[in-house]
Amino acid sequence: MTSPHQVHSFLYRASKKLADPGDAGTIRVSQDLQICEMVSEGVETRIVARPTDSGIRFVLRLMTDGGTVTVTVTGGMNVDLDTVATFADESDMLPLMSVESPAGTFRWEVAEGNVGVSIS
Amino acid sequence: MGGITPSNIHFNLYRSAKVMPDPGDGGTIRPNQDLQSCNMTTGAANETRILATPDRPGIRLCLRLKTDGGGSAVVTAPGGFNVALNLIATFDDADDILFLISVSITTTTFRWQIMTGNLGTSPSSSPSSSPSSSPSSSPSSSASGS
Repeated sequence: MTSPHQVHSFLYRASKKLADPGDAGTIRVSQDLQICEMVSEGVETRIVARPTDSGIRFVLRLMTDGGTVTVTVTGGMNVDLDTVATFADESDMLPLMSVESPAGTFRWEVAEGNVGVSIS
Repeated sequence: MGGITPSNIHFNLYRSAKVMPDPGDGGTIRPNQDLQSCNMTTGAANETRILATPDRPGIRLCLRLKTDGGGSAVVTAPGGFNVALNLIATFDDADDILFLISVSITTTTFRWQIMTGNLGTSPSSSPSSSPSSSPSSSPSSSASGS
């Protein structure tokens, strides 16, 4: 049985990797604190599915730059409801957190720490 | 005491200690749990720390100078703090802070990446004997997070 004081140790040990679905694939976040590190082999696209709850933290990053990755974030990622995040260079990184907006609907919100990702 | 369940995990996260000890001057900060915070304290003289290279992605760490005894804390991350592979972060004043996440360089090598914070990093390839001139209140031009 896991003791509460072990929770951070277990979090450390548990894999946080969310597999890159590849070109035109859908990134569907199903756990908290995950990181998806994309690898591109040319100009590619991804879709990030809308979250189903608020408070989920997720990091999307371009690990290997073989070409620009254009990501469509379903439902938007800020109050302006921008939906496109462009990852042009290696290590471009976009931390997100899911929020409820409007009531009963969830979407992503760009958190602090955007590294090089252009939003439109 | 019961175990962790989905319904109580966030409560247990709240209750569980997140502070990892400061190893002191010349010591190595080696996170072995997620979501930890390391609050450094310096004495009157400048001090150094080493931030161990991570061994997996997605680990979040908060590194902060809690008490400024007069000396700066010069922290070297051998694997780098960002894509430019800046190696040194200098904490000059109390509440100088960096929020870090471990990321993959390849599928088997990892480094730290600054997410946000209020100080910059230095491009030095080895620690200097004196702190960098990076201002503590704003990121340096060598990039705070890219």
